[in-house]
Amino acid sequence: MTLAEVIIRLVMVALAIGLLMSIAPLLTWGERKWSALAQDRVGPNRAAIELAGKSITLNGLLYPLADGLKMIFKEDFMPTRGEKFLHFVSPWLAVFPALAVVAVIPLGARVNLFGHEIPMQVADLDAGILYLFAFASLSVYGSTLAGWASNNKYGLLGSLRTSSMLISYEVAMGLTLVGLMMTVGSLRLSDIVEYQQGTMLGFLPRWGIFMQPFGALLFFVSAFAETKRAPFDLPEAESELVAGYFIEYSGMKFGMFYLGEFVEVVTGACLFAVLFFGGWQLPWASSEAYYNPLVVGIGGFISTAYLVFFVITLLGLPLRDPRIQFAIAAGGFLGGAGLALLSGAEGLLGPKGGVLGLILSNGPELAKLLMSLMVFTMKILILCWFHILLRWTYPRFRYDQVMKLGWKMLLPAALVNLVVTGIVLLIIR
Amino acid sequence: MQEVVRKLPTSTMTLQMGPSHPASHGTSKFTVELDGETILAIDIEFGYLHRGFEKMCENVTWTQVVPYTDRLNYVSPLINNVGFYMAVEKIAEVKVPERALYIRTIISEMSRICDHLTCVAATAMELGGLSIFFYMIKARDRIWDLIEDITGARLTVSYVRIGGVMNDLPLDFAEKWKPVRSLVLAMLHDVDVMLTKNRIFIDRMRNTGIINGETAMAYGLTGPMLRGSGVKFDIRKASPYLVYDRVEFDVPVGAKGDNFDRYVVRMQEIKYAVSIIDQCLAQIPDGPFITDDPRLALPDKGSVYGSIEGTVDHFMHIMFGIQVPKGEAYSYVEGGNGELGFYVVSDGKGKPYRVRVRPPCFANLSALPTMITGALLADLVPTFDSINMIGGEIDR
Amino acid sequence: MAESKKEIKTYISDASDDMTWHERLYVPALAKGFGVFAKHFFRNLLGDKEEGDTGTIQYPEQKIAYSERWRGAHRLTKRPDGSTKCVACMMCSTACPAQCIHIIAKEVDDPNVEKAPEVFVIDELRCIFCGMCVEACPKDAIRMDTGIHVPAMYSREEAVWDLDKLISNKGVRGNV
Ligand code: SF4
Ligand code: SF4
Repeated sequence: MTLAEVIIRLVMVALAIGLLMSIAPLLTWGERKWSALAQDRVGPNRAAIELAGKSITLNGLLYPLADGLKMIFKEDFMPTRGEKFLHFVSPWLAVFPALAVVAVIPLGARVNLFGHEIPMQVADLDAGILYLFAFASLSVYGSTLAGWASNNKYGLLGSLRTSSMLISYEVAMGLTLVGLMMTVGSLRLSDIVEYQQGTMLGFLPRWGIFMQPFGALLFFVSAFAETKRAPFDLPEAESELVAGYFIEYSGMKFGMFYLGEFVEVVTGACLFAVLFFGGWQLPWASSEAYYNPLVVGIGGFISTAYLVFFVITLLGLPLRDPRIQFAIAAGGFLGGAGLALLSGAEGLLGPKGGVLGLILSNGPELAKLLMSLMVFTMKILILCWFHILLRWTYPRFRYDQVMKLGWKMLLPAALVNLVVTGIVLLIIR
Repeated sequence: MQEVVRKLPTSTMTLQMGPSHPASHGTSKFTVELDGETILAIDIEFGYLHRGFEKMCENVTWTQVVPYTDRLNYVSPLINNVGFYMAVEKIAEVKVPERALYIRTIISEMSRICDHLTCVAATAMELGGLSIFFYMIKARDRIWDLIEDITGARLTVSYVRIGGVMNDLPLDFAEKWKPVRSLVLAMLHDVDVMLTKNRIFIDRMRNTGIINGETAMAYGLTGPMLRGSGVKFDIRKASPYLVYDRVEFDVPVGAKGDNFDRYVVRMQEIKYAVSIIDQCLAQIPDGPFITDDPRLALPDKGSVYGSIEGTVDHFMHIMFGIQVPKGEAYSYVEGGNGELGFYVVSDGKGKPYRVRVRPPCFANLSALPTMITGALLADLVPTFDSINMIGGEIDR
Repeated sequence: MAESKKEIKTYISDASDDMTWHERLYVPALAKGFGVFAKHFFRNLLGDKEEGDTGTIQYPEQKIAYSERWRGAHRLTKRPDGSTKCVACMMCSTACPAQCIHIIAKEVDDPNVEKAPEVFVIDELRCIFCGMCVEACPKDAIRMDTGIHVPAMYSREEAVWDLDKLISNKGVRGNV
């Protein structure tokens, strides 16, 4: 490994963790604010910083910060008769696997910049999906041990529920993906993303969700169950078990469970985007289309406009205001035009020397990189939104019903999906 | 293998839930004996909210009882007000003016809507559907706005008086009711879409907490719980009071007596309550809102300020309390949770001699062990919620 | 009436005992439920904040108008010369179910008045805001139309409002 490669890897690690750790706290805000909007409320908006006599609230964006501070300074309570060591390690066990999963996720297109091949992925493993499952299974230890180590009956019941539920849903989750693996013919996540380019049947984007609609649904349900959020939140079922397995946790240890949950939401959204929504691919287009300035321009317009829109909703500005609408359009236009220019400038101007020339000659690749990152971020933001809103819509299952759903509905359905996929593939090939 | 199984020592687990547990709202405590998650036995403890309502009533005048009744079932205080004074009026044999009867019907139905909304909302919330809770509570708040318009308070209303009510409906009440009405109905529709056909919800509610009609009657259950079990008994129909015989409505009944039936019964009753209010507003006559019987009602303020007779009359009523003649009576109304009865004894001395409440929740809650034994711990939540135990009422 | 009844009828779907096959599949009903939820979301996100149907009131900055009959903290009304209308007849303190009004009477030289309160205190912590004192007063001397809540305080003594305090309270609709 050369020095450059090492540096690239480190940058990738920073990027992946950075993405995760910026979206996850954002989602704690999003959960409060989005659910509030859907519930006809306003949501928290009082945490403020006093600056020059004015209090700045940023539409509640300071709450993650305030939460973090509060958790760090809160007393770290430990039940006297609890199992000290396990009580201490289980929050780490809950967070770490969720973080580790992101290593194999391709965050953007593989590009060739300044003479270096850059995969936008920390590790492009052959057996990417297996790695995913391995770490997803590890996360069960965190919550199981947490409840057991707390010496609390509610905690114990919660951890029993967690372990049985997570283990059951892993089986279903694994099987639902086999159909996709068969279609693509690889376990490598970058291959799966590469495969999802262009169109199928002439009018649909060749995305996993259209190749495997049933599999996608089943995977979504089981992945949702893995995050232990409502309607699958029975391990922590507030009204029955008070807080379930983390009942005896406070301070930053509780914060880690809390954060871990959101990290899981983000990694879940990443996974779903990669497996079923074409990862960083544009719909209908092949990955070559990233070199077409026109496509880059249009795509850039949409994704920049979306990101500007997202930031505006973050700040709670009124979307009815024509100026705000103009800002969204203008942002999108600037982003689109900028990216298109970056992509197509060398073709127009011809080769140049110096720094400008270096940038221009790498322009198409650079545009592809930025664009694919933006497209991917947009996809995971939308999926996270969906995930978070779903959590607030439905009542939760009962313990035996969740088991029935897992073993008697999801598992057979996944098997049927597998068989049907196999038959269809046989006929097609 | 057999050997090993026999040697494993297993024991049941005793779990103390409450009195401060998210599910035991209204402060009650369950001691649950669990085998895994199956409930083997349950012991319910209540009384954490005991204030001695019945004894307190003996020390105040007949008018001063009304704030106490507000605090019985604090979700539908107006029905309690009406129920208590109906008993008093039975003793005194007063004729309540027509308009007051209509007003009492309207406020009773508004309270019933609040009561059912709270119950369904709490059930949904405790099953994890927090949004439904917010939708329903928002609607309830709008109704409370109206109640504030009528009575001057949102919760501690103290509105009903012997022979009538404290003051008339506001002039713009019918106007203000319209938007609230459409909000309630739109909310019902939303909740219906989100819950009634939702399998997760059906699974949680269907076939849990079953009690059949016969057992229900044996336990003395009333209200939505009895009707959920398929017994068509509603005091508003069985023994019409106020103007319930002049309005059209149906008594919804369930088939099985499970939680889902009770949910449906409550949802339907909200719907009928809305319709009853509509009909009352269409029929309500003009006239006085409190009886003019000088023995039992305060004289109107004009004569108090202006005439010596009025002042003296007023003085006597306030200083010695309204003199309810000797006698005793039991009166019952259909409260939010069932038959709310007041047994009142008067010795003619200006204060109640004895007051006894029949809180519907008390009988309803006593059926809980029958309904829940053998079920899973998670079923305790919807079952307990559909009983809608109100601490203030049960503990008195 | 007939049409309103029909309208009401359509709001609740009938709950049949057996689940139909599409209910068994979870997804259709769940999708519909999510639709309702998302409808609320977008209505509140895109809608005008003023008209949007969030039920929230940003309390200290924004206050709702209480209804006309709302029973707030007490005040004593005044004669044109600024003295209280109260004649210390003790009716309010007798009628009060919480027994939180304490009055000591004094004689006044003015033959039209004769009697006035020397001490008139209301313990606003004991008060249950039932309004019976207002109902009982024969002189329209005590009212609860100040439109204010009793503020939070650090000691119980502060909650006992005396004559001066009660007279200085203002009514929301005119200050008689
Ligand atoms: S409002 Fe009621 S409790 Fe308060 S002072 Fe007046 S009579 Fe007493
Ligand atoms: S009832 Fe009126 S006049 Fe009599 S003491 Fe009370 S406030 Fe004064």
